[in-house]
Amino acid sequence: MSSRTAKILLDQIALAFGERIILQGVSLTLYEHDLLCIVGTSGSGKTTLLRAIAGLLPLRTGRILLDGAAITRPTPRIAMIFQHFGLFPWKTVRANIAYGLSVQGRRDEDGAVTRLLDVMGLTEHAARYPYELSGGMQQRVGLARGLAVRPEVLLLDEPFSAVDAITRETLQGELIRLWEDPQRHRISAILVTHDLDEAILLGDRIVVLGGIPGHVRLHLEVPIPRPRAPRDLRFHPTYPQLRRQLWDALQDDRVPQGASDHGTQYAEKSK
Amino acid sequence: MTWGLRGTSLAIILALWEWYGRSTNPILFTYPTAIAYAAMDMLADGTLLSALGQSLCVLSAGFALGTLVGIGLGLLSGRSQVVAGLLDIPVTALYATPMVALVPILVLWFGFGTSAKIVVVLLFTVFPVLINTQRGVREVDPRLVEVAHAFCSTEYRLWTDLILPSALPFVMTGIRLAIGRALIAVIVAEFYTAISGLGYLIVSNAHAFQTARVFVPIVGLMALGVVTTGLLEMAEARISRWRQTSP
Repeated sequence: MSSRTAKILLDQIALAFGERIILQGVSLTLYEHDLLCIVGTSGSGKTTLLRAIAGLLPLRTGRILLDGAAITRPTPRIAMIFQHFGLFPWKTVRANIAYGLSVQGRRDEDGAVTRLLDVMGLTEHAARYPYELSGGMQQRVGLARGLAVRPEVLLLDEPFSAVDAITRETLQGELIRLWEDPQRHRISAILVTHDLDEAILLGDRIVVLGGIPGHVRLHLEVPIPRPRAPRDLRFHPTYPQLRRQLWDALQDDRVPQGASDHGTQYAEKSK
Repeated sequence: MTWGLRGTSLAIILALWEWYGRSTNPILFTYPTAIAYAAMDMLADGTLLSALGQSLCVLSAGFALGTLVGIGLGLLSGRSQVVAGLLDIPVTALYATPMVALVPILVLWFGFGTSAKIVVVLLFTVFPVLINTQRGVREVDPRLVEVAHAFCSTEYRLWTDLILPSALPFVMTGIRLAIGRALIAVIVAEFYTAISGLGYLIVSNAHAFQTARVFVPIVGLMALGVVTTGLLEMAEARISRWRQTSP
């Protein structure tokens, strides 16, 4: 695994809002065509971390590198998918999908927008406005908008947490299909979630963030081979132990404030 | 449905007015058919159209200027904390002041002519537009601003994709409030500066106890308010198709 090339490298980063330190000493690597899941309880700084990788937040210390060059502001090579979908209510479905290309002054040369409308099953809804769509369809538009710019790295911030359980499974299935399709442009992705099953289903590797300030608690590989299917996931022999490990790492946040040194030891072990 | 209800209410009001108005002293009150006859007379002798022309001239110039200045300052102060800080107290103070109180001073500055009247209309209309526009710009969803930044939007595209469309409904509300105030402003201006237009018709006919003729410009003003508000609502519905609440 270490022979793989690093796409994004986080080197000992710290992030703060004013005096409040959110994340401290976080180092991570995202490889080429790698899907890294970050899990953590609410307030563990996982969304903040993703925003920093997108170049939306300044770092307090450390650096974030994309192919060896520091990320200091948003770049067209990275696209983000938002938990709240982030669609423009006054733009039609088609215009929303084309937004990224248009705002970056790029032409839709190979008909990416039309193809993505088709892939996402949105062709009939192309002229509709977001309020006319269900949550699941709105997130399909969000995904299509991110994919349309052909990013090298996709950042997904709890993309399926605002839709119902059944839609979530469908969307996860679609993401796996897109991911595993060898015909597609091969991208790397970081997905933030608080859903352990989602992390095991989608991730090549999983990182658990926790503690105050947040740091890496646990870092593990998911040994379940691809292609994966949502319905078979729970029957894989390694599933119970994986889930147990993740669960235990998350539980450390329940430890009272006085015992927080314990969390630091975990971070050191995981390096 | 709505049009039926609107027509019914109008018919009931006119019928009651006609019935009651006929039983009163014609110097003190009047009724719709008398107003209609008076209007035909005034159309025939040309007084109504020339007065209406004068008033509409002042109204449209003042309203257009007030709206433009209001939108411009509103956009600036909505986006820039510096401009907002500079404008805060003067705008609040002027918005709270009854504008009528300023008219004698405006006469000192701008004289009694058309320019003074246009300034009066401008001052009446600028504040509702400014305050609503400013609010519209501030109400822009910060999450969408982040989306725009994440997709590497320029400041110009941020305005066209996000700030302007998002502020537009607020701007329209400001303009709708401004219409009513602009109609007040025209009459105030015509009463207190060199008397002219519809204001002149009201005052001169009242002095001559021609009550039916007094009501002609008043009803005209009402009709003007209803029509412009209606046109604005149509424009609003057209540009707000993306809104769930649009009719």
